[in-house]
Amino acid sequence: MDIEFIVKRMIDDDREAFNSLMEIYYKKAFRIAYLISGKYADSEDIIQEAFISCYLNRKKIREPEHFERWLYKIVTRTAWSYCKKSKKEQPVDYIFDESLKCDNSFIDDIIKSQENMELYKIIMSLPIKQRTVIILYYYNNMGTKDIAKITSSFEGTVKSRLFSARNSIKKELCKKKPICKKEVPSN
Amino acid sequence: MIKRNEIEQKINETLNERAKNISLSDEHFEIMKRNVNYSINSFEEEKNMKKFSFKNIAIVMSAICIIGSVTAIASGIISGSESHSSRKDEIKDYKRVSELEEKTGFEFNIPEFFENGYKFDYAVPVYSNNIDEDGKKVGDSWVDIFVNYKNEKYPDVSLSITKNLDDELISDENEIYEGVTINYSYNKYMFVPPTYELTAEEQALVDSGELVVSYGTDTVEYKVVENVSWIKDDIKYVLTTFDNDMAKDILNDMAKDIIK
Repeated sequence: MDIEFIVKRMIDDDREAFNSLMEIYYKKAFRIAYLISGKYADSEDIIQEAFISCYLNRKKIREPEHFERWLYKIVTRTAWSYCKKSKKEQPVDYIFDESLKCDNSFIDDIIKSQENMELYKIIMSLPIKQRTVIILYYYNNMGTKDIAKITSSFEGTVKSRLFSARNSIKKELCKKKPICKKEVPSN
Repeated sequence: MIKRNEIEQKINETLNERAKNISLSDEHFEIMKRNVNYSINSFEEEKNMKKFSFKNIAIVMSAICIIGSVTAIASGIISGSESHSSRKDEIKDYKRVSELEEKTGFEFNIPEFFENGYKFDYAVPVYSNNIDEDGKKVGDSWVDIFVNYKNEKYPDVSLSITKNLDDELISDENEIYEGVTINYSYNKYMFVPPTYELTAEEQALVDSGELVVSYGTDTVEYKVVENVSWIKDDIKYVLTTFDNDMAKDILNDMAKDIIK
């Protein structure tokens, strides 16, 4: 699929092209919004606002070939704004969302899921900008250069946030026995 | 010591698992798409549209709630007025409705049940302000209330309450009850996709006032919209329902229940 072509059509006011782009990026963008905000209901609002902004600002797209990065920048900014408004630097209790499926039936899956839940709690307790970098790097598999553009920061800042976030996660993980079997030096 | 790649693998696995488990159906997407297109259309249409009355805002909101299924209303900017509400603000517990009075700054009467069987479904605050031709906010903002009522036999009825009395009440017929004038009006609405072009025949109906066109749906849909409105104690009430065979009687009875 030629995304660049569809983006150019959207820039030329083609609403069908815009609808196609929403369809292509909806799930991924929603999941980023969810991972950053931690709330399903907020993610619905974030994603609507982001897509509205995307269309209304379509004439500002300078690099149609990098539309995905441009869209995620809007999603990220909108999610930050929601988190700020809701003062959600994120309460861990909120992560048990009714929208999540519970289909793990085997004991191994449950244990693994619990381990992941602990780790998810740790990620959600990180400062929002560190959390965003972690999500874009590990979930979106983006490089630090792209993340820097999305978050409008220097690449060095991204690397620093990534380093700090990993260290925080590492420290917290080592308090959780199932995941970390060996002690880590206290410093 | 935990190895870095072990942590990285765990982070990747955890985030992917969480993301994968989010339920995103085609229906979710369709609702989102409809709301987004509606809002965009409202922005783009605003300069071409005539000034909308509160009644029309209520109608459009009802349309979104009904057509968009459930309550996924996001925002709507209409020439002259801008209003938005959020699903997060919905109150489904009737006992908590009085909390909305703090937001509106005035007291209002919202029954839990009506004698005709309609019962309270939810209430939501609607944040509104006037805008000029360039879409800039003008004057102070205010908060209206939107309430939805359900009945097992008939379509939903919505109640909108506002202190903004700028727009005149539109009336095809009226009746005075306990000193209050209840205005009844009937409109045929055609909901169309954002890019829809009216036929000459449809345009003629629009020009004659027999048809109202609202942009933003995926397909062309026709609906009959009926409402009653009245002002009591400087507060405007509007009851609205769609494609309801018993609308006139139902709305008049409900209006009288509220006025009592």
